Amino acid sequence: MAREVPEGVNLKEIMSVLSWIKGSSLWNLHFCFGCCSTEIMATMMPRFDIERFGFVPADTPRQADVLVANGPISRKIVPRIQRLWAQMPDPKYLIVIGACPMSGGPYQGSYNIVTDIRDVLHVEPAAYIPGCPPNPEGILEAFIMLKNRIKEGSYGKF
Amino acid sequence: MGLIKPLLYTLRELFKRPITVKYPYEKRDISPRVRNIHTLDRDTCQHCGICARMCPNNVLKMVDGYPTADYRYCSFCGICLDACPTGSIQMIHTQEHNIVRAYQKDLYMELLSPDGTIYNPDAPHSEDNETGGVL
Amino acid sequence: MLADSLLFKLFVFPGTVFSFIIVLFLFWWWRKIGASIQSRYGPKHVGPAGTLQTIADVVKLITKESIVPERASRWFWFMPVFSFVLSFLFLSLIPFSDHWVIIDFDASLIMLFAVMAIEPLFIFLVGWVSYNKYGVAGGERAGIQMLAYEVFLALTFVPVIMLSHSWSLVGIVYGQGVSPTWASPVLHTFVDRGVWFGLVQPLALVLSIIAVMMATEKKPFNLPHAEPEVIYGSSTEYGGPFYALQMLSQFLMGFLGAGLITTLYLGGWALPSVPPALGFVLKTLVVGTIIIWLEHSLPAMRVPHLLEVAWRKLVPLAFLNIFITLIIMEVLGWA
Repeated sequence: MAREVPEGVNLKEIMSVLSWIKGSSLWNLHFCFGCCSTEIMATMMPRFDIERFGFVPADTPRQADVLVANGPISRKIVPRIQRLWAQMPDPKYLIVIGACPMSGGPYQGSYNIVTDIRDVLHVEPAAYIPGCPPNPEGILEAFIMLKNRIKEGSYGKF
Repeated sequence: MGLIKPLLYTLRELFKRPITVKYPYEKRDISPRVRNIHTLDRDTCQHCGICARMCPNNVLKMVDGYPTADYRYCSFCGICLDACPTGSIQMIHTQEHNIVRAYQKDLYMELLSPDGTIYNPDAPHSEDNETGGVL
Repeated sequence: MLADSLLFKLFVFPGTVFSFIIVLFLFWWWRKIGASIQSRYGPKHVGPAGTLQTIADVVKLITKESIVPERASRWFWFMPVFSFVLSFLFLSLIPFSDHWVIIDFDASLIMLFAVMAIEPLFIFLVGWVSYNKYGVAGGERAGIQMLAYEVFLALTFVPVIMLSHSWSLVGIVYGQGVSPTWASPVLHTFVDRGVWFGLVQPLALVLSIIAVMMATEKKPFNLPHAEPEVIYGSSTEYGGPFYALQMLSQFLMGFLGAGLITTLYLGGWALPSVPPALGFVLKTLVVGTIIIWLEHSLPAMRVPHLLEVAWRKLVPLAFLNIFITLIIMEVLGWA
């Protein structure tokens, strides 16, 4: 059912404000299944303080916006990741940190490691940060890239 | 008394200056041993391929006689630096070269020249859906 | 007069608009103070000094998808609304000044106490209807915590009632203008209207700050929402707009708890050379800042530890306080 936009309402401006809001308040799900999560903790700590941009760890997946894939995805953790991803409410974003979730990294070719997170979640991540692990600056840059992509409207659905 | 001590401590911290480095606006000093993105001096490269053979994660592949890097796999361990007989592979240690990319295919790239420029801008990208990792 | 009408009070000044603004401010202030204590900046880049951060958070939460779990009760939708309404009931009882109070009658302290006693029930129900084991566990913890603080909170009210001869909150604030003869010459010089009960009842002031921190689930007593133990307690299944409502009512309860302390012990709206309602808000923000400071300084407690501290230490202290007050009143002839 198509609806008429009322006269004088600039839908584009409203959408740009809304996407600015969505990009400024990204709560990441603090779910650690790999060693890169220590770098995420370092990013949340006083030295880098990811909360300056409004990115805070959420307490439950129901309140989270961003899932940070941060370690080797063993076959045993796949159902958990899928469940947590399904529990997050909808505009939700994925960031991939470190070599393991994007390619397997040092574990490539192992019998119990999924080498690409897209194979289990079937979504396209917002940002890739290579490194083993990347430093906190890299993680901050990934969050800022996600924020900019949401602002531009080139990532995520409304 | 044990209850008062933390209160005084936090009160003191409350009025101190934060230690935060406001990252995108100011950068911290980093250790000279930080290893970031690779560089390759094509004038001294011997096309021997030892770097690609020594790489534990199969990051480097020889394409047209020069190593190319697939940063999806890279651990930035620096073994290629030690393996190179001529020392033409180096790693930049600046903060500016955090390679954060929006698409996986952008992580497959030719090595930069030592002054940070790209040798061949039309370098082929790997297939986006190539999952990789299977030996 | 529009400003005198009940509708104005309900929807603008002590009511909806004002409470929404103060809650957004308090959320930002809580994060800033916490960040300063942890030697970092807190929200900084969204708006000037991060002031737009909380607005962005709330709008984002409202525009998110609202998930209702499959086996949740149909009351799942209503519980956050009910707890928000309950915090509004609390708000309507707190006197911002003798004019800016929505409900005031002879026994408003008792009604306020009843509202504070119902609140943990709603926290429990919020967990119960969401069909989640962590929700139920968090709700049970809320009930346990209520058992801990409710008794000594009521006992700390008793000396205040004895001193002011009033069960109404406005009457208690007026009662703080009546000072005993021995204290008047000294205290009248720096207190506008008389002696604040916090100065003659320091023990009750400390006890009620502890009780308010327990009632509003601040850090040493955040058992119902303790992240390391029960994921997010009763609110585990709540996200999006539901969680926005819950967050707003939580911060509103925090503000009103500080307001209760201001009313009972710190002279209510009385502040020299400041309009009454503004004086109340300023005092409450000072008390709130102290509570935030305590919250970020002290480690969390276990459930048995909490009950032991409450029943073995704080309840006897509250009784002792009543006893001392009785003796002093008898000796000095306060009446």
